Amino acid sequence: MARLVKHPACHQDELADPPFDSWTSPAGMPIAHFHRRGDTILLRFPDTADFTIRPGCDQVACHPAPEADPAAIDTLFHNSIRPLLINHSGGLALHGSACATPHGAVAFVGLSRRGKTTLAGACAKEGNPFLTEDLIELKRSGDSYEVVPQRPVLRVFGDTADYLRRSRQGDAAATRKVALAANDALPFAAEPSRLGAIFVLGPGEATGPLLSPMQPRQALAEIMQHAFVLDIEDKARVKAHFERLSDLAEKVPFVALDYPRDYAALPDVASAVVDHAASYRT
Amino acid sequence: MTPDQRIERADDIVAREVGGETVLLDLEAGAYFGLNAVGGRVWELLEDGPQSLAELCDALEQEFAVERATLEADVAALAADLQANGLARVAAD
Repeated sequence: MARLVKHPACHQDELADPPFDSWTSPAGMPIAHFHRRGDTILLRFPDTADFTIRPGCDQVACHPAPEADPAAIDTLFHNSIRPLLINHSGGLALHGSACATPHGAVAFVGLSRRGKTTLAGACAKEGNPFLTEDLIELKRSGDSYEVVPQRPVLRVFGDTADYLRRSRQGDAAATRKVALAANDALPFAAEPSRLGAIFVLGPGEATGPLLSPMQPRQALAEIMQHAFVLDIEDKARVKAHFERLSDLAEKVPFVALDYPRDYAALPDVASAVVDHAASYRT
Repeated sequence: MTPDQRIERADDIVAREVGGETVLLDLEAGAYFGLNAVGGRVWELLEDGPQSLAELCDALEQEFAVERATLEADVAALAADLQANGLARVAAD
């Protein structure tokens, strides 16, 4: 597993060359920029950190921006850098959350703010331990896939934290995430779990849990939005990545899931997800 | 395109059959495309090199129960679509 090497904070000088790739939020705001530096890649998260990645090397250097939150740096490394490295090295990592159910793991993918972590927390609260909150690391196991557990923490906004803790603690609401450690009421699965199905979260327009199985081609189109590559100009690797995603789309059931974004509805949604996962069990 | 003009696959396109359908990934643009059964078969036929629309129709006529005129219109539309999306191009003579 790659190791993060933190250096002293320094200002992010303006870079002369344009990025060869960028991430932007659904609202069009810049999230990260990829710059090539010889055989290394500089990945800049504006006002947060510069990560220097040498493909194939097990160390990632980080220069935090002044006043950057150290916890945010660690989260970026675990949830944004590691998936790039996993995919670059021939593995498979998706952006999303997952829980272990009696019928196999269920994973949740979707656009930002669609409720992936909240739903994982709701499932955990109903007795289905969470495996990961942001990085779905998959390992091929025979003819199926396993979800590899990540950190035993859920990072959620204040109102979701209150819901998951069953008590109101007044975390500063909607703008900043808080980290909830796993506990008896919010269990974590420490062992890999066979992946039963991947649920693609919709926009929240349904009045109750609405589940619609997806065709493999639809699934592939969807999952390509949630699996990021380190070097989009490395065509051999992009091709291999596409092959792995295609295999995933064929081997694993994908289900479109929409539901009202109402905390009171989440137990029913969790129950519907688990019941649906049971229908795929072989 | 005229029926005698030949088209060929563009470079850097990856094809994969997924769930019985053909999907294409343009490695240069990062764009993804899906093809129906006829489109998938056309893509297969182009694997052997440039083909004219007439040659494609000749081959497809043996495999699909479609009238020739419909087939020609469908193949012409597909060829235009593939070219518009950078997936295929008119072959040099």
